[in-house]
Amino acid sequence: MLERVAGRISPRRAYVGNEFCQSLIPAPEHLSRICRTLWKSGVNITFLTPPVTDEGLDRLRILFTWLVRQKHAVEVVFNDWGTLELLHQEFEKLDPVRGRLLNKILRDPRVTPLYNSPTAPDGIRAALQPGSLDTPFLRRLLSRYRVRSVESDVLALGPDADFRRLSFAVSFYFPYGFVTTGRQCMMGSLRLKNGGRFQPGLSCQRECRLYLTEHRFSGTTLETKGTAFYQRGNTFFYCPPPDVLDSFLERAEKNGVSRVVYEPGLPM
Amino acid sequence: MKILAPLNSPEETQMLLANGAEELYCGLVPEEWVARNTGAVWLNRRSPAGGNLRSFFDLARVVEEAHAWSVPVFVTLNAQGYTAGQLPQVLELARRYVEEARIDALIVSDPALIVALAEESLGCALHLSSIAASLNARAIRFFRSLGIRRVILPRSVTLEEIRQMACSAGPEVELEVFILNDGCIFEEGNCLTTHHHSVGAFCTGLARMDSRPVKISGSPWLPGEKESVDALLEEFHQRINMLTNADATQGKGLPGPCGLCAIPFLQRAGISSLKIVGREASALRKLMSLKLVRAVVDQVRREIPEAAVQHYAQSLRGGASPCVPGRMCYYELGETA
Repeated sequence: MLERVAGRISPRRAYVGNEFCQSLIPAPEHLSRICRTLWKSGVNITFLTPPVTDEGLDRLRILFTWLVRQKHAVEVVFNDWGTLELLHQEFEKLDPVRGRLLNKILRDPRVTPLYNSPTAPDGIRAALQPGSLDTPFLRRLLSRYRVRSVESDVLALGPDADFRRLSFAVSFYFPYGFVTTGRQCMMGSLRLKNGGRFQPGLSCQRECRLYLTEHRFSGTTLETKGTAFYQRGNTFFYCPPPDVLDSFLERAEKNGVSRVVYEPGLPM
Repeated sequence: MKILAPLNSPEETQMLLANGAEELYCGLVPEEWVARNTGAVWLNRRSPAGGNLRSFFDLARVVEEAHAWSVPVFVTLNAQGYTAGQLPQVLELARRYVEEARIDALIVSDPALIVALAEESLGCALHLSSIAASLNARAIRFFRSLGIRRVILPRSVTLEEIRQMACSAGPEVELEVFILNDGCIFEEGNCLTTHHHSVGAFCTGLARMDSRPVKISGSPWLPGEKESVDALLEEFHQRINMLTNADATQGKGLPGPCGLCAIPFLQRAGISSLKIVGREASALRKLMSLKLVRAVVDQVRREIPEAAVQHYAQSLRGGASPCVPGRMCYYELGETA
């Protein structure tokens, strides 16, 4: 689908890291090995960061310190305002990008197709607009912190959606979007004893690399019955239906989408 | 360390004040919000119908009564984000909460709204909702620089993380933590689902979905492997039920998950306020919840030894069995030993 619209795909940028789970922050040697390989191939790097505790922020600081010493420009996607504060105070050379977790648009496929239908009331459809990006308040705040790009999941863009009028470049992850996430990981609890399961900050064996769970919305008369969710690690994802993906790609350029981040498999 | 209690009706005010509430919080969703945005688009984190006051007159009544007891009232405007179209209406409501009802603080989450309110200089404090998911001291510093006076920490932080954040945040910012009722398996600020009654909460609905574990490698399941993943999924559903207090919503009305035995630790850590959750709960459940928290706080204030307070707190919840870590507990006390 992507190649039909965009032609032969030749990636110029790779996304490294993880934006959902602090346990998946890469080790310094792992990150440097990946980065060096990609830079040798002429590929630019965007480094993804998750919501973090103070301990996670300390680990990120080590990685930022290494990244900032390299001769390549690096984007850092922040999904935590503390990470932005750290970048702003100590790592001015790294380009901050607001991540999709901070783009607070309703992403609940049980209802969004209904809320987005032409017959839905205006007030409901308005709730699916791209957040408060086009308010002067957020513009001022983000520009104070040198944020020039923001990211989102694929939305059902209307014909009048125009991201060019925003002061930011807008990137979209394709095709999977996230629905919900948290620190109490189901699969990461697999090898833990009962009392220690589902606790924030648990010590996992990265079971998210081995298993996922597929859930289908049932027990409803809504037309969204059967919608699939994929639980991988601490996060639930969805894949928009083919017609929405198709229409998104067809309109992406016209709507002013600056980048499509292609993830062939479920993130994590 | 104050006790913060919820309400959704002016009739509850006197009851809460007389039983030890030292701060109150509520929401107000006026008709004009519903008329413009429908009942499906929530002004704050609770349904317009169940968890909110409905008129400025009611809000003013609550504030007047509370102020007579020198108790402040905080009002929620903590939707995860507001669109450019909604923001002017939200700002106008904020002005009216302050000017007409004389509230003491707004509980907010959307950075755009926070910047807008700070520029308005409304004359009330700004408290950062747990919806903003501030998990670290730098995030607290970021929001402090925007004019936030108090930060409500998310449910998902551990006691040690609370201690570290309180230590780093310093006296300039107050910290509030969850102490009783209505847990959440996800990070509420990063959960972009609706709790609208047409579909119900995503987390509690999971148990009713058709679910199937998948081995990512595609290789066949080993003996017992799939069974352990199935069992884990079942336990996950039970954990969600415990956290979300499914029994209470089925009419039993009992207080839900808690951090009562952590109150001595929270006092030592310098926490400013203990939040009881459940604006939409019955008056009886609110009263039971408040009495539970007040009983433990009174022990702490009488400087009863910490171990004795913890034992007392657990005895209030009917003994040790509901206090198994990972079930009815917000916080795992073991980490502080």
